[in-house]
Amino acid sequence: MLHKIRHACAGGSSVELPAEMPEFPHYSDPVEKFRQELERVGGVFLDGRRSEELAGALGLVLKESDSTEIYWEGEELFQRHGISFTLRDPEAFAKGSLLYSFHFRHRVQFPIVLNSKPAERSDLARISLSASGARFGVAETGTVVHEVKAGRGRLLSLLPPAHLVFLSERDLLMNQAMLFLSMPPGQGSALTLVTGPSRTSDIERTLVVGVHGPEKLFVILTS
Amino acid sequence: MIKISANVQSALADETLQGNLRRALVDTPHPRDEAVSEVPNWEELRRYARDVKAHTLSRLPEYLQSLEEKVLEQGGKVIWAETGQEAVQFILDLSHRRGVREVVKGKSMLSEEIHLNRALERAQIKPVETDLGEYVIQLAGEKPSHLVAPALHKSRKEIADLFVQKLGMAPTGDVLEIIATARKLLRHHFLTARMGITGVNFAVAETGTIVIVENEGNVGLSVSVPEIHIALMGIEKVIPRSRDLAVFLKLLIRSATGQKMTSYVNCLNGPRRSDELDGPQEFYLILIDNGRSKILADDYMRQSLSCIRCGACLDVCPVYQTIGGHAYGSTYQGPLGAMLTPLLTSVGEAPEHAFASSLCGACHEVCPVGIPIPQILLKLRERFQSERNQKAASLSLEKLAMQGWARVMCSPILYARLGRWARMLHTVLGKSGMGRLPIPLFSRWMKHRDLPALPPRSFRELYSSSQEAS
Amino acid sequence: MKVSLFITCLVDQFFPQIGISTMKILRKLGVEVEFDSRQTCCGQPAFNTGYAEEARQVARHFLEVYGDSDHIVVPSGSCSTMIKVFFPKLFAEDSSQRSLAEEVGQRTFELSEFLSSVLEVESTGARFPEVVTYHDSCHLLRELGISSQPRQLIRAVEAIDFREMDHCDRCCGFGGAFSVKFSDISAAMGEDKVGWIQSSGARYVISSDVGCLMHIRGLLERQQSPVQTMHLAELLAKFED
Repeated sequence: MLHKIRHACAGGSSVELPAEMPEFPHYSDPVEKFRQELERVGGVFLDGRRSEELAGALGLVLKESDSTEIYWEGEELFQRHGISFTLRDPEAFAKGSLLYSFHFRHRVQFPIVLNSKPAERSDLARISLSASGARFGVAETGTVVHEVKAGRGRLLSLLPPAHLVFLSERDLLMNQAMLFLSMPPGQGSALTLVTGPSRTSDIERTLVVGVHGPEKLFVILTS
Repeated sequence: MIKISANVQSALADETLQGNLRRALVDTPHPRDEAVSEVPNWEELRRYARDVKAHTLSRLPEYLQSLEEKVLEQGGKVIWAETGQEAVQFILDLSHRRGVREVVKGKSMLSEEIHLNRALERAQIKPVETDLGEYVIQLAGEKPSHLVAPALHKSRKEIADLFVQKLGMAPTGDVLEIIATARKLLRHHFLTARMGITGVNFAVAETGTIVIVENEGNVGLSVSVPEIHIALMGIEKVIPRSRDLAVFLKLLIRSATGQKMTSYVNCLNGPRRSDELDGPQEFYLILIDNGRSKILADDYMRQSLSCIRCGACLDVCPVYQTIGGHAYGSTYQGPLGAMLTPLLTSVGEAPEHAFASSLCGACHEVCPVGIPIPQILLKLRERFQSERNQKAASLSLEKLAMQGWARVMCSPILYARLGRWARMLHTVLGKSGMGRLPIPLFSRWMKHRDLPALPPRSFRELYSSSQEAS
Repeated sequence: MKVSLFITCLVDQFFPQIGISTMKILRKLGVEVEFDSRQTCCGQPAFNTGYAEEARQVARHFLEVYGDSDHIVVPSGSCSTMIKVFFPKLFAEDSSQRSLAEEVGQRTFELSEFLSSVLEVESTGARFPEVVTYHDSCHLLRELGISSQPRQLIRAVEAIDFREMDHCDRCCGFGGAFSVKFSDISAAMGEDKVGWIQSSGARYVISSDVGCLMHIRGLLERQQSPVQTMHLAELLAKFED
């Protein structure tokens, strides 16, 4: 078959790759642009750059998603986003393939004390709120980039009806061109660009939010 | 042989269809317009994309090989399928070996092109379309009528009625109810199916990344829950570098739905790694030719393979807006279908497609990769006429008429004389009498419109008498 | 300035009034107008249906007639497009004919473009106290990019009430051979157009292409509509001699 394609190609004219990429937009206030774009597609932006704001932001996410617990994808998330936490059951984190949850009885307080609750994959379908960390954010489109790699998976951010993403300010890129230029050549098996909640316009071209993926998407910006 | 003319009457007479088309495409401004006008360098992006595609197609074997190498490195497998049948056979064999009884599918026009669902059903494997529009189409036992919005031809009421009838949903006019019903039912399929089949929007040669664009999250689930993921890809979908994605995604998404970004862009690099929590254990990329290398071999027609399937040309096409997608009788519809159907098969197999266009150029105007669709249709018309007259034992009547016409138009004397005769005839028969002459050209015109009355004297006659007078 | 008129076969045989109007406008503006009676057709009917060889023959005849003309003015968007855009494509494999076609193409102008861009005329001095709307013909709009020039000229007509219709740039459905090969689709598209023309409130629909006007007029007459079609040249020539 390749031979056939080679033969088909042979007679044609040769064209060079264009030398320069077209310009992509830059913004004086990328955080503000990101917020605008995320909100335009129905996502919720929360500023958690100051640690005293973080508790309030988390509390709001729980309230909005009508949840009392959040499933996290692992310890790394807390370290990366400077969320102070204490482990009540340190052994739990040694069990590689499981997920962890924290139950919020009253209001969110720091340091967060993790009650590890190992969850099997089959539990995923019942989870009402999950959280993950974004590898990148893109101001141009209000996009967060979910990277699948060691110890992480694809489904935690996709199956629950509400999802929370932590995005570090230093990972916020200006535009899509910067994203694809700075994307590490695939170490993990998947990278998903997420822009707002799941939606469809298949019925009379009317936009409706919440089909197969999360109906609610929260992004907390951390410093 | 596919005949569009056989479907026109019923499409025009279908009042529901006409209402749906008009509401979706004519009466509401397309979101694309605003999404495009706010990009200051849109033309530059188009040129860039067109050049990247032209370059890639000129070196297709290299890029496909590079893609294959990278996919293999990541633990995936690559299958080369010369025909749709080969691709289908591979999927059937694999399903059989793995004992797969049910498949969840993401929207893929290529899957339609190779008639995969029919083959799966015959082999007692249940294909479940998971894109909402495709799900509706599958429930209705129809085919998609639009590349991007497969159920565009259906109204909310028709869809609600279908759900009531087929799924036992309580009657409702609420779109949210309809979607909740689909979500619930499909969630079950996602969690149990062992194979996911999707299309591919772009495949990056330098990294082996398969890119699939979507809004609902159904593709994300189809490539994450089942043990096996199969991606179907036309050989023309490869692009050289990751960075090109920034441009292609911007063009594709804005042109298709008017969004700046879809909810999800899935970039996939093979099966799950052993240290990842989930994802498919097996990943297969099927590279499908199915007539594409034949198009590639024609230096002019090659540009049709640059198409990124945004569907904008369908949205703006007045013919598509008037008859909808099904009337084309082919997998691909609208201007894209008019161009691609005879190219993928032959002008003999789809003799009317290239002619089912007023050549208004609206498609070329919106095409994000600048494919000159009207020009290609003209070339196809030329190809059709020359093949028709080569094959037949004698020249067609139309060809003879055209030859005669050309002779007249090359001879000013003959031309002027014929015009005079026609006017004399007109004086004798009158306008209505002219219309009754057994000339198909007249009768087809007269079916809907009056013929213009011939003036007593032509311009050249008036001119020469005025010259003589002065 | 000297101008060679290419009146087009449709105008010559069916609508001589448009030719006379074109001539009247150009002469008023001090242009010396020449009509070469060897002219026939641009070859579009053959080109449009896939008979390239026949189209080439007719195009060659055209180039023979107009090879030496300074300015060629055409009161038709699609015939100008045929000459300017499609002639060079027809002779893609014949470099001498192609370069001749390209040269001739550069000297060819659709009427409104010639008036606006070459003569830099703002008004022809016409007066027409009626409500009118303008239909963009596809070739003129999309192949030649001409949409503002005819509108400027229309707006400059004294006492005119110009109203844009919805979807002024959507194809009327004529499409040459399309109008008979797919007569039903063509008519349905035309009826849409007629609907938008009527809801604009205009009594006259103006266009720069005889093909579109013939199609639209045929439909309007069938509906016994009071709306009338008018070629741009006829409108612009509404001044006292």
